[in-house]
Parts: sequence; C-alpha cells; structure tokens
Amino acid sequence: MLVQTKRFGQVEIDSSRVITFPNGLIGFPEFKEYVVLDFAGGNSVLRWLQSVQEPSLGFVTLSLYDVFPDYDPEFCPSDLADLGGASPDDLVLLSVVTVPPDIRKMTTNLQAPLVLNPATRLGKQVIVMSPEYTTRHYVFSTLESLMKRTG
Amino acid sequence: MLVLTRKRGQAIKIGDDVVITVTEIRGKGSKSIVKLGITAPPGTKVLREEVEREVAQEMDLAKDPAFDISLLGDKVKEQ
Repeated sequence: MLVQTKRFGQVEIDSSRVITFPNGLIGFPEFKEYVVLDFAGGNSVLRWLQSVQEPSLGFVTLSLYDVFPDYDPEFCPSDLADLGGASPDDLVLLSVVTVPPDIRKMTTNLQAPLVLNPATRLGKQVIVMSPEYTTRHYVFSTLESLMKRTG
Repeated sequence: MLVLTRKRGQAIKIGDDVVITVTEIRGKGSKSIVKLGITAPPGTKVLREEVEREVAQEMDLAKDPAFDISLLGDKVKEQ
C-alpha cells in the first residue's frame, strides 16, 4: 500500500506493517493507524512514526531498549491487556522525541511511551505509573554518545 | 457531579475496592492544598488528572517536527 507523508513524500509499505492504536495517540484520538519507518541515515535507534491517514502527522521516536536499556517503568496491567496480552519481553517500546529549533535541547517522553505488540499489530500510548519518568527527558547527549560508540 | 464534604481523616469509598482518604488540609484560599491517600487494588490506574493534558501538549510540540537533522538523513529507507 502507499502511504502519503508530508515529510518523505509517498512511501510504499507492506500493509501488514500497519499498527493500529485503538485509542489513537494521546491528543490525537482520531488517528488510529500508523507505520514505523526507518531513517535512511543509518541511525537505528531513531524511527519515524507516520500516521497512515494524515500525511502531516508524524513523530520522531526512539527505541527505548536501545537508548535506555535500564528503562523499566511500572505499567498498568489493563494497558498491557489492551494490546492482546503479550509478555512485556515481547513488546516494542518507542518514546516520542520533541525536537526544538536548538536540537541540543531535544527531549523524549519517558512518561508516555508507545507500547507495540508485534504479534497483534496493536499499539497503545501508555502513561506509566513510575513517577521518576518525565515527559521532557533531555536526550541529545545520550544519542550523541550512542552514535559515537556505534559509528 | 456528586459533591461530598469531608473533614481531615474522613474518607470516601468508590465501588468495593477504592478508598480515598483526606489526610491533610492546609493553606487558605487559592493556596489551599488537600492531600489525599488512595487505596486501590494493585494495577488500578491512578493519575493526577493534568498528566494526560501535559502529555497531549508535549505530543503537539513533537508532531511534524521542523528539524533539519543531518545525522538522521532526511529520508526514509526503502521499506
């Protein structure tokens, strides 16, 4: 299928890669279908989350397991049940990145990760119950050192 | 909306399992604060109401970013 994107033009993807967020994302309840796209720049920890329905709705996200291996929030069990009952080890966690004009001040939202279940292709943006994770966690230096290490 | 009056130390029960207790009241007028203690079964979602609004605001800032971030390559891979 073809997905129209404002940022990258038209992208051909296999329709089996569409992830359905039955509740949409927080603040965007009306858009429920997304695809996760890799950037061409060879950076494997960042991904682009693109709305299938709305070309201008897209987000930079990062893979939480890769960038914050110690990230271990407390999830509400009912949120995980909504994803079709996978064990937490099988879930993919992405965190939405906010990129301001000064990219050194980029932050990521550790309080409300996107939880994806690859088996059911269901996703949910979940507010975690652990108070130590915030919506605006500075992430630039972490990404920078990660990229230096991996080349 | 149901409105109940409670004193410090008094509680409200919601359903069979949730109890909200007023543990402290202090300050006056617009600076007054009430502390609540909540008992609920494990796994019950308890959030400050404004958290979801804060997340929605952050999502609005994050959407459709106008960055020029050469380290990403401004392209997506052939999928």
